[in-house]
Amino acid sequence: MTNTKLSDLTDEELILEFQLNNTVKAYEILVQRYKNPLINYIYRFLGDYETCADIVQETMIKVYKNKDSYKSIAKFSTWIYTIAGNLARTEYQRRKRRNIFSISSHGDDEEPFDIPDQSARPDVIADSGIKDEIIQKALLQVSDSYREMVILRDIQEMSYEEIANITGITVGTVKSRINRGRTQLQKLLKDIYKE
Amino acid sequence: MIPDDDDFHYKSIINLLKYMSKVSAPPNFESDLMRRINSGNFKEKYKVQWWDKILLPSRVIPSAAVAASVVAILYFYNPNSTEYENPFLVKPVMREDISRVSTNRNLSTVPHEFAEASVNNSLKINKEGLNFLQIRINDAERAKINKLKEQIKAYFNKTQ
Repeated sequence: MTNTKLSDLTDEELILEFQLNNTVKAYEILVQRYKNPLINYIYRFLGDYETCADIVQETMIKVYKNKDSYKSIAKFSTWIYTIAGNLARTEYQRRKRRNIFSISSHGDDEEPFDIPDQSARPDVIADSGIKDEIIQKALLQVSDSYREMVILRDIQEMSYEEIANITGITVGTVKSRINRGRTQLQKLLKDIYKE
Repeated sequence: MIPDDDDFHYKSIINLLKYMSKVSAPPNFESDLMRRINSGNFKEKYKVQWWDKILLPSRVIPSAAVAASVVAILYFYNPNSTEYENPFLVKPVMREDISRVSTNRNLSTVPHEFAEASVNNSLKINKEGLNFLQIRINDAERAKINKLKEQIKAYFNKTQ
């Protein structure tokens, strides 16, 4: 199959090609298609660019290694977003634990300590305005279970059904979490958005 | 994505999020990835470990609560405790004055009115404090009762 033909294939056809004929080019096209949406998704969720790039690489490696575990009954996007989401959630929980332990270890000596805010890295916000930075900071203050849903719906523009498949929860719960997340965001961003 | 009523309600916030600048992958992303794949370097930095699944707050908090409850129950519950009494097997508490009348013949410990009763070998009932029904009877009824009393007395005298 020529490269031009490969690039015309759907995601599901590409992964099938990769599964059946081990066509690395098909895999590369999938990487090309998904690297930026996944980076965007994970970055908005974690707020740390370096970690998010690592997580997306890990996701791609998982796809490469476990290509045969993909079943064509599901959409490829659902599968890859599920892998990335699981990795991001695990990393988020790990960080939260690490922060708790580091805070508690500082508890005895009453000196102030800083938790690095990596969302403000200049290379990350170079081509985005202050507004973006404020929104990102607000987004990171939203409860993680709501934040993930809001990102998938309002930034990744996915349907409720797709989000339900990715996160493994019901459509009703997805809807309510999205709305709760939006309400939290509204309160946090009341100064910069206009009704 | 098909917008619904909720999307309309949160239109402003959705627009803020939708038009945020897109973050792109680093320029060397694909080359790094393919290099890792070709060198067989699959060391997973962000692998989901078994303790990551266990140490989720949603699992740790209820488990800790259950463990604390079990420890508390084991601490306070002693199966060999002698203090435990089955309420159905406990002897009812006796009223001190009644038990003395019925069992104790030592007059010095018996209240005055009951001591007198014991000496006379008949019990004088002190009506004070008793809850009995008072009825008014007419002369004819009183006469009838007196007649019955006489009959009962005569019967007892006869039998003795």
